[in-house]
Amino acid sequence: MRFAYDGIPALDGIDLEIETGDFVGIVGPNGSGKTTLLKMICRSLKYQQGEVYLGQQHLGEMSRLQIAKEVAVVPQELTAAFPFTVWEMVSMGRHPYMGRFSSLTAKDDAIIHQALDEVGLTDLKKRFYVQLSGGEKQKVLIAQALAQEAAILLLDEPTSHLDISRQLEIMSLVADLNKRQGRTVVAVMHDLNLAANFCRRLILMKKGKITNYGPTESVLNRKNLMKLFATEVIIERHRTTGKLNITYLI
Amino acid sequence: MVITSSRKKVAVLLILALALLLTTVAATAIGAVAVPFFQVAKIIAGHTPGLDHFINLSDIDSAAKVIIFQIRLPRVLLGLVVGASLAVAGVIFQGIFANSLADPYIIGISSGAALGATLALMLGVGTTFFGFLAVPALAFIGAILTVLLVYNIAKVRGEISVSSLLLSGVAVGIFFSAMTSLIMVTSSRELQGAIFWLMGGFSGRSWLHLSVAFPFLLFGLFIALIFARDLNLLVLGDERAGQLGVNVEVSKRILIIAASLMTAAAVSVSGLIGFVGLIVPHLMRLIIGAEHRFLILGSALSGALFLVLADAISRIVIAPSEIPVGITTALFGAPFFLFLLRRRKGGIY
Repeated sequence: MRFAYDGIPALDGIDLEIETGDFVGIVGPNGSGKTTLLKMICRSLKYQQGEVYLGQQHLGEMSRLQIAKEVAVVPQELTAAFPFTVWEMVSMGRHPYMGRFSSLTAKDDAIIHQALDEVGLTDLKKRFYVQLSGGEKQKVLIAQALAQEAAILLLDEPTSHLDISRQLEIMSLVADLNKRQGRTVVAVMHDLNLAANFCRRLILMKKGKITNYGPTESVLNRKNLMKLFATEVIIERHRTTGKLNITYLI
Repeated sequence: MVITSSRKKVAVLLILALALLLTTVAATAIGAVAVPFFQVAKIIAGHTPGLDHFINLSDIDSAAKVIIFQIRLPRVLLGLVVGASLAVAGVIFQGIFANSLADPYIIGISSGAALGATLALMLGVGTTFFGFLAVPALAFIGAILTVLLVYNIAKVRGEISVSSLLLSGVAVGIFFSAMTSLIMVTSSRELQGAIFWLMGGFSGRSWLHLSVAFPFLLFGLFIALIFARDLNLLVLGDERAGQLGVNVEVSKRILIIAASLMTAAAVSVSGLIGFVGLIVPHLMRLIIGAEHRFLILGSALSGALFLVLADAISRIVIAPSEIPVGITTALFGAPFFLFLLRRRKGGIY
């Protein structure tokens, strides 16, 4: 698969297969094409060469509505120009299932309530989205994506604006959705330590190409990261937690 | 203070509808010849299909009947229809642009309509043009041609970007306004008519004008309501709307067509009336929230109410002559808008 912005290649020679139910992180320096790759998968951008399949279906032959039922995106952040309530925001996730002349059914209401419950925002449903904190807004966006009932969740640096405890909270929530509900998760990850500890597999990208793709344990080594970021790193098991720990040497 | 419960929103809509009904009757009663409120209500009901069999108008003075039904009622109803049209068009444009400063004239419709109307007045295209009134016909054509021009300039590779639509609208608008001014300064004809038209008003409008504007209101309102959810999503940005399943380019195109037709029809029968399409959607968002189904209905009702009131004021203040309603809406609308702007600090905007 290839893609270029005004002739400048952003993705080149991408060949990739993601298993159903997997938790895949995309890692790489700025401008390596991580977000572009994500936008190919949800067709926010149209690839210029190549093809993307969702199971047996060719993405290029699916309508926006069909794609939205299969793939839900959680953006990095989202500003709403007008004051929608949390409930209204989450109910927008039901759009792909609603006809032009229909309103929310009791079933839709139940799904919206459940999505709010999953992210723990039921008490805030009448609050205005614009008045929420960054972490709460991110949860609303996750609930909006959950309301889409899509089997695939795409996340674009979902925690980059948040403090450490909110980062862990959001990632644990996503990991839980992956484990408990079997949703396939593909996430562009900014923080290598979060990627190391939450993603089952990693895609390493540089200059629009995939340099490595495989289980986190085997891909995340000193040699690969040095090639990717040109920065000296130490990767070790933490003494007390036994988790992968990446330290940058400055 | 924004209402979030659906039941209360419905209540607000019912209150607005009732207020509009009473105001319409009251505005029809006001004028040089005083006709009592209930007599006016009776005359209107007597001409309403479905009610006319039950109401006997024989006890009412025939002069009053003519004044109310042939002169005042069409003009008051035209104010109602134009107010609703401009407010709903404003909601649509603000939704597409995701900006509460957008209004129905944002892509140059006003300048195109003004050029058309001025041409009709200055060249003296008689009173009819292909069997219809010359000024509205040319204003409508000017408005539609402007939208097509702006839209096609802004279209790049089949996609419409909001900023290029805005910029080409402004540029085309300035060009057409200059053409209008040029025609006005070089024409040997009386300027008064054109100037009055540009300021907007309902003086001397008839059932014919109403029959032009009303179908466009119904059409635009229908499209706006069935695309209300698309508007909700477009407010989150084109990319997000697409991710949630909106066919962004198709929805935007249909909404722009609906809003433009409504605005063009409203402008062609009433001239340039500012502030209704800007302030009414903004105000309604503060009362019944941003969800577009309620916002569209609420704006239609309160836009109609606002303009019927403004027209009544325009007729009263310097009676027996009257001021163009565009001046009234701006004189009341602008300070009110500034008041809202000052108050929003720390609010949800």
